Amino acid sequence: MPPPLDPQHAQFLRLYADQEQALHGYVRSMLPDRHEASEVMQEVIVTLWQKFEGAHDFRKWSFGVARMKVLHHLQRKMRDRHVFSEELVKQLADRQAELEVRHTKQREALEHCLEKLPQGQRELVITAYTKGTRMDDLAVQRGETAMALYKKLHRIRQALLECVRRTLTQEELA
Amino acid sequence: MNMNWHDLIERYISGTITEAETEALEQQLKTDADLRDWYLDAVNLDSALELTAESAELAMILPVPPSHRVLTPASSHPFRWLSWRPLTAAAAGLVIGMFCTSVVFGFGARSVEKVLSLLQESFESGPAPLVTGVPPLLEQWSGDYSEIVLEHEGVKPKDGNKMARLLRSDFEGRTVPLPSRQGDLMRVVDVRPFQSEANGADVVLTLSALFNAVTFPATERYDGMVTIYALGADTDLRGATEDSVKEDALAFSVGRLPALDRVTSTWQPASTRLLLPAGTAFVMLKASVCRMPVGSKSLSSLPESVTFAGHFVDDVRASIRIRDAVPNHRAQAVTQVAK
Repeated sequence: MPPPLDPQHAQFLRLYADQEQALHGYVRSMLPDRHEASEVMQEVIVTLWQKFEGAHDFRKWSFGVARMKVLHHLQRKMRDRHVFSEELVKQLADRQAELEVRHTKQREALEHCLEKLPQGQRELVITAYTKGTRMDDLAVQRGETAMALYKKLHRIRQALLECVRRTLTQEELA
Repeated sequence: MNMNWHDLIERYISGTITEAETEALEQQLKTDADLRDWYLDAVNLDSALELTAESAELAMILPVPPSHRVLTPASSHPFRWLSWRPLTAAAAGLVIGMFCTSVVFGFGARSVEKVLSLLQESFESGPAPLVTGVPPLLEQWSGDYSEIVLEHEGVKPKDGNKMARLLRSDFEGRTVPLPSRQGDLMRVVDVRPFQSEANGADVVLTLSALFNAVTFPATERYDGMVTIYALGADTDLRGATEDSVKEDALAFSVGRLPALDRVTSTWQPASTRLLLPAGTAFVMLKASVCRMPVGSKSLSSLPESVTFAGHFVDDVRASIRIRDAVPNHRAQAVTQVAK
């Protein structure tokens, strides 16, 4: 049997589990590449635990650590002309923090919207987002071109985005 | 310039945007508050889909320790069919026994990196893998029933003349009364010399392996998978099972190759990486082939154990990246040390 969790460990996990989705969204708002965001999130988790001293405003503190980690990461790849400037990244990060409640509701609405997708589309989008999936391999498996697959996924994502926005609007009107 | 901004945002997120388009999108985002909100909504959706897929995958292939499961009650979770988040799982794992502190890199720091080879295995020499589950010794392949073979039914080794063939999803003396639909090869490696060299800096381990198979029925699906377990110095491998290793691990990471193709000429990769928690003394590296359900079928539709018709692993590689933080005034160009 594993040893029981010590109180600090349990407290950290509870606080972290509450914030994980928002924290992940916050990192992605500054760092759109999934793989880079995943690497930075690992660094964020380790740092959060190493520095964890208690529950005092865990959200604000964890977002601050994440912001610093992302900006540090971006500094390392400053020469990449395919990423936004630090000025815009900070602007987006500030707005992302303001939109947290809305985005939490959107994530909740996503379940409903995924269920409304035809089964084939739902399986496709989950497979495409599974770690390790290569779009060109997936396209070959499906007998499609990579470009056709990208366009299909684009349409599914747009449909999901419209659905979650519409769901929230309906909730606000209700 | 007449731009479809929503389309550009999509391409920015998917990494298919050009430099000129990035610049145009940046200028628009700086001045258009509605577009900024659209961008953030789109990124949030992408992030949620990513976590959904990862959690669905993890829920399917990794049993969650009961002691950890209670920390994320399903009732509070927005996705009904997902009760466990992968990064939370990683957090749950990494915090056990990890009590030292390290510096939070300040904004403006630069890093110096070293990349060192930990393992490069093409099964050309060395003893045949044991078939006793978790390796009882360091630097010894063990796992489920397997053999080292030459070219086999049209599948040529990727590297050298030999490759590992997974035969079954169980091992000699397996007593766990649970279904097993994956064949594993595992190896435990001592990373203390690297931790010592890192001297407190970040150590990231990357593991990759190549997978191939003889042509199997189109109604079957097999996934390749690689896993890293970070283990503490007090880990006792004698009599250990993979479940006990998982319970005791400081952290773990899984990389997956969904749906191996049925083409014998192509080797397909799976890879993963893990930031090793402080206190990591050993790592257990694992390459697996998993029988998976097709389409909407459930795992229970599959047989409880699997005999593989011809599934192979070759060119297993692990490398260590040591990333140190140094103040700006000592910043150096990134250094890569060849293996």
